[in-house]
Amino acid sequence: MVLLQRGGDSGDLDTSGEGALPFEVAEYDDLSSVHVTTPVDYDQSPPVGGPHNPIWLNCGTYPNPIPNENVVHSMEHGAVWITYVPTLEDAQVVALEAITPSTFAVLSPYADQGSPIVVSAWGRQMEADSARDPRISEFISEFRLGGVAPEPGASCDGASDGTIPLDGG
Amino acid sequence: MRRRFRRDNPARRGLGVARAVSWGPATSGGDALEETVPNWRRATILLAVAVAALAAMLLVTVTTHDPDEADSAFPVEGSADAGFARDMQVHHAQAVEMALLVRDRTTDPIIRAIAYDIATAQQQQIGQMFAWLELWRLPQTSTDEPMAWMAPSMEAMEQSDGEHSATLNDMTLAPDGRMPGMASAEDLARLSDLEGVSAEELFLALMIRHHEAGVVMAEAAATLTTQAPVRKFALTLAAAQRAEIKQMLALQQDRTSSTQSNG
Repeated sequence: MVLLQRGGDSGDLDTSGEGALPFEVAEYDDLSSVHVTTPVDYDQSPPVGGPHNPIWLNCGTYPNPIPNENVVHSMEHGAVWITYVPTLEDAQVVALEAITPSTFAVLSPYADQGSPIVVSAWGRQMEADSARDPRISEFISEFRLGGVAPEPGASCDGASDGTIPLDGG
Repeated sequence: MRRRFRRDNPARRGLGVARAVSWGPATSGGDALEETVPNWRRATILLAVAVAALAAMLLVTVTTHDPDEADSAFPVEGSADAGFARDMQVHHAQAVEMALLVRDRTTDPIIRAIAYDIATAQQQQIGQMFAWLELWRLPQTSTDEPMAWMAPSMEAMEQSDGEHSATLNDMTLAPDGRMPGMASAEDLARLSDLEGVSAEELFLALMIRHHEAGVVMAEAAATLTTQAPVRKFALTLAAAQRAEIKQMLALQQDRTSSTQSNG
């Protein structure tokens, strides 16, 4: 009903699909979705989107670092990616595992990041100091299979477990 | 839309409760209200009760509706939204079919990944469009000709500088009624008979053409829709398919150049 009151001019339709989070997240728009089979030098660390490998990363929890080019493709499909510095204490990692959804989410260590924990989705990112920061779950709720991901709901399984070479092998 | 007030309508029940509360003291204690409350205050109370009852009725009218009826803000039969939701399901279903065909006919890991991607992404999107029609209480099948919903968009294109004339010619139905960009029965039969690189090459040619028409349909829907979720869906779909076209053109190029270099 509200939509029609906006005048029926589809140019006015709000297509952001985002509710208002009570805190700020970094936003990166106009990210490329092209597929490449070569390594990509991303502008953000961890990356939030851009060119990526044709083979996405299967969603899940990884004890070791995973290739950016695969997991960016998973974020294109609507996955959220939770990363933590390798020095994060075990109890914190266990707490992160507990709040990581079983599908459309990836958890992995990532050395080159500016805070102990970073949560990313396609075009959106936030930093956290503790796994107990309630903003992490709010971010996941807002952006998992939502936000500005180009293909939310496309598969996050049946592809790479992180060991397939970028050229497909 | 029609709003039927049934005997058990919560609006009436709401009024009934309000009345019982407001008249309660009067009936149980004679004219208690009249005896103990000054006239001006009594008038104020009655006014407040009336306002509250009216507000409750309005609230109920706004928030409840017959579950068998579609919301009045939803698209109706004949709308571009309905046409897009139906036609794009059919269009997508063929992309899923072709992707699964080539996946069974090649061992190339990149082609197999793209095929998996297209098959699962587009089948999931078919589910979204199917669900919209269910939500809008519209049938999945229309008696209208496919693509009829795009007419306003096509007229706008004709009135523009003619830049789209090539696209316009491509956006007509094939003699067998196929929508633009769709492969013919013969194309699919050929794809089924091929293996390896020749299957990959035909798949790329068919899917690029399929996506090109899909982008035009999605962009028309984004312009014509009255629904924010449909607009978002159509715009992201168009962007994703454009990216896939680029990728498939590059893969096509790889195959052409490797064929040439191999003599």
